[in-house]
Order: sequence, then structure tokens, then C-alpha cells
Amino acid sequence: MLNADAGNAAIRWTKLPFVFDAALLRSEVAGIADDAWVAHFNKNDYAGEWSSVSLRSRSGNVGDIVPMGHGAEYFDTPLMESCPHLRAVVEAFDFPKRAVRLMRLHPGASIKEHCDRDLGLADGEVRIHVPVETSDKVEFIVAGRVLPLREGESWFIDFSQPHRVRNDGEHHRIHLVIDGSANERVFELLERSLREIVTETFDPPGVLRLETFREMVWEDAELQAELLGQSGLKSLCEAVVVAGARRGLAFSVEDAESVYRQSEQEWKQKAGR
Amino acid sequence: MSLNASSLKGWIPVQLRWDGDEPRVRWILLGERRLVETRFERTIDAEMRRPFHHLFRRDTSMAEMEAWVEAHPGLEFCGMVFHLSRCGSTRMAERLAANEQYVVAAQPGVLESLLEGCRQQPELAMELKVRWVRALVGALAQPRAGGEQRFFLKAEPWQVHDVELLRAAFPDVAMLFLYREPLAVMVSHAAIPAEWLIPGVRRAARVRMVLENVEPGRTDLYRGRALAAICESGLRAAEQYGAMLVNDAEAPGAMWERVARHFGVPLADLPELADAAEMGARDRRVELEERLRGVTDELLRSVYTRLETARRAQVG
Repeated sequence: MLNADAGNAAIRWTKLPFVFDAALLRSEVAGIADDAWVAHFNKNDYAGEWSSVSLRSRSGNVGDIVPMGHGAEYFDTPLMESCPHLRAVVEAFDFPKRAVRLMRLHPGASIKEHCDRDLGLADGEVRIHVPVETSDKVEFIVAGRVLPLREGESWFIDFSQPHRVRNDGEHHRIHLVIDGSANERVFELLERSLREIVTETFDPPGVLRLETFREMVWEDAELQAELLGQSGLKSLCEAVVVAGARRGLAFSVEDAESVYRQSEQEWKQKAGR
Repeated sequence: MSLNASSLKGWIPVQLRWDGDEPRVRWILLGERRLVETRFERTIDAEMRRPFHHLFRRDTSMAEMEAWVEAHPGLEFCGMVFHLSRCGSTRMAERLAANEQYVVAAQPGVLESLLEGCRQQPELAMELKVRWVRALVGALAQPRAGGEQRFFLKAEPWQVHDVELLRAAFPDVAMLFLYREPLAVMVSHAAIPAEWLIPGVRRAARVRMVLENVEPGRTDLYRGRALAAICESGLRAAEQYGAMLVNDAEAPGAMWERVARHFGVPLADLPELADAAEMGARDRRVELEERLRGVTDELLRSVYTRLETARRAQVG
């Protein structure tokens, strides 16, 4: 029997064996009135513009984009009715749905690294992403790996892991995001996907350049002294980004913070203490 | 990654991460800071508050550490202090560290990771374990502030169980086992429990205990047995590996003369410290003594008597 306790809860992500026609989905999304999109609610978590519309929400309203309350009832919004291709995507997944939204990250916007602790597969939560519009200028990073989500693909990702997104492209990045409760079929689908599909992931290029910069720091006593003196995380990361850029190595404050957090976590978990 | 000869200067190993059979070593830049706190981890924890260390720590293989230490042998390793706990070992470390030319690494967690990892992998070749222990201690024993000359290691109480490995790694380094009248040790542990003697907090096997045998509500038995096992290993360290036995109750003058001679350092190099204050309220101590006398006599009296006999034979 497959269930959340039998090790499946450790599935971090996988591409799923459904590929949809992104052009059809895009044409439906293009028909959504611009004023229907609602700015995202947790403003601490992102920079730039970040907006959504609901195909399924607690109130049944398009503008209700807050997916809170696991026990709450959810209702299809008028968009679900007016977008049959998107609806077909939603219906391809056979589990009880909660919020279903289109999530739009504007050019230049980024979502800061965070964990959605209540979205773990271990807690029976499942979230599916279907990219409708994206580009290779979008960096989607989960647990330190770049996941190459491409238009029309479908992905399961456990968002209780640290994740961050950045849209350095010139167009919106729009994903259809389907939330629901993991049931037997979900675990079967994930198991099958893991067996049959190779899900490639990549090192974030900024993190790789930061790694090169770190090796420079090891050899450079002056740079060590300069950076050792930074007593705050933010000022250190900013100084590191500037010092990296001076040496032709481009990475972001988010890259530095992410590496920092992982390292700090490893330190706290150190054995034998 | 290849290392050039200068690149680990100022860095200190703080963490081992076992990845399969081989540990990886994590280093931070300690720079010119001398290890002065009575516990290694306190120095490191204080240092880790600088965000720099989390972003610019570095990892190497054991082989890279070995190569570095081979090229940079570091300070003269003059002594290893094993002890029963609650027996004056901290004061001993403090007195050694009071001399600016001496460096004491007291209970470094990174050494415990190595010894515990080795214990958990009995199939590892002794020769490899010996190389690793030598390299790690050598990396800890690097000069940092300038002017340091001698290095001492104060072990965790249970690390005397690893005396065979430590002796194989350092055949010529002076060892001592410091202990104290066991009722006083038991009373101290009952008054202020140490985390490593709470059943289940530290891996029981590390203190040579079997968790299944722990009787509920009888922490005193668990403590007494674990401490007796440490005494047995201390006695073995003396009889088989040349460790000097030291009882904390010895007259300080004579005791320190013996210790200095054993470690090969001039007594004049060891500044005297103010006497440590007696801990705890007297009534509480008397009450605990009453309660723990029986279990102490049953579990610890015999090995204590044997330690004392062996020590007197050493003093001559």
C-alpha cells in the first residue's frame, strides 16, 4: 500500500507524465481581464509585482486568492467555467482540490526564499505547477536546485522545502497552481513519475559563481579581513555581492542568503554536540 | 580541489560530516584567535556569531587535511587529559591554558565526531583511523596567535574508552587519567546532571551502556555504571598505555609537580590559580551523599580502590 507514511513523504519533486498544450492555455489566460488580477497578499515574501486570479477559491470569487484553511470548502469561480482548457488540466489530476490559481510573476520580480510549512507532502498536502508562460530567464530554485519548469509541463514540488523564484525575463511568468489533498492516486502518480521520468535539476548559476568567489576569499587575507568585519547578515551579503561583481562574478543577495542559511542549518545540526 | 600550501593557514576544523565511509571536514577561519575558553566549543560558538563563518566556511577531504598537517606539523603535542568528570579537569585545563605559550583544546566536538564515527564503523582499518586522528589533532594544534609552543588535549570523559586508538595515533604523548572519590562525583552529577549521563540523550553505546538495561527512574544506576566503565578504561589506560593516574584529592603541590614532570613542562610555567569555590549548599550535599552512598559503593568502590592501588604504585 502506498501512503504518506511509507517513505513517499520524502518525494521532493518530480516532473509528471502529463504535458499540456501551452499555446491553448496561454490563449485562455490572455482573455482574462487585466483588472481581475489581484496583487499577492504576503508582501514580506517578494519584491516587484506578483499577482493572481482564482479558478477555485473559498468564496468562489476570482479575486479571492488567499488559500487558507485546510478544512474549508472551496468552490469553482466563473473563470473555471470560462476557461475549458485550463479546466481540463485541473481535471487531469485526480485528487480533492482546494485552491486553483493562476500565479503571475511580473518581469524583474522575485519571491524571496521561504518554506511553506503547511504544504508538505508529509502532511498530506499536494501542489501541482503547470507553467503556462515562462522563459529561461526565470529561476525556480527549490532546496538549492534549479528546477527547469517548462511551458506545458506539470510538476509536483514539495513546497515545505526552501524555495525562491526570480523572473529576470521581459514577460510575465504565469503558472497554473493546483492545491489539494494527497490521496492514494496522487502517491501512485508520484511513484510512477519517479520510476518513469528523469527529472533533471541544476545548480543555480549564481550559487556556482558564489562558490568560485568563496575560493578566492580563501586565498585572499585582505578580502577575509574586509568581510569578517561585517557583523550583520544583510550587510555581509551586500558586501559579498559588490566584491563578487568587482571580480566579474555575478550573483544575487538571495544567492548569498540561501547559501548562508543552508550552511547555518548544517552548523546547528552538527553531530556530537 | 587542490590546495596550495598556505591556504589553510588560520583555519580550524570545527565539524565532521560523515558522508558514507569517509568524513568531510568543515573549517572556519579562526585567524589569530587563541583557544582560551575552558571549552573548545565555546570559542567556536562565540566565533560563529559572525555571519562570515557561515558563508565562508570551507570543506575538505580527510586526505587534504592530512596533507596540510604533514606540511605544517604545528605545536608540540605534550599531553592528553582523560578524566572521570566533576573531578577538577576544568581547573587542570585552565591552569595549563593560563600560560600563553600553551594551547588547550578542551573537548572539541569535531574530535568526538571522528571518534564516534570510527566507533560506529568497526570495519574501518586501524591504520586509517590512526591517520585521521593524527591529522585532526594536528589541525587543531596549529599556531594561531603567535608565540604558542605546546598543545594539550582535554578529552571528553567517555573518550578514555578510545584510549587504544588515541595511543596508537600518539605513541609518545603523555596521558593522564584524573579522577576523584566516586561519592563526590555521584553527588555532583545528582545535583547538576550532565547531559551525557542522561539515558538516551547521548548515544548510550558511546558511554558503554545499553539503553535497554536502563531501569526507569534509576538514573543513579545508569550514572554509576557509566562512571564505573570510565574508571575501568582509566585503569586500563594506566596499566596498558602508560597513563599517569591522578586523584584530585592529592596535595596540589605534589600533584602538579608530578603532572608537570609527566607532561615534560617546567612547573614554573604553570601559573597558580585561585582556589575554586565549593559548589552547592552543604545540606543538599549531605542529603545526596546519604542517598547515593549505597549505589556508589556497589558500582564504583571496587574500581576506585584498584585505581588508588595502581596510583600509589606509580607515585612509589
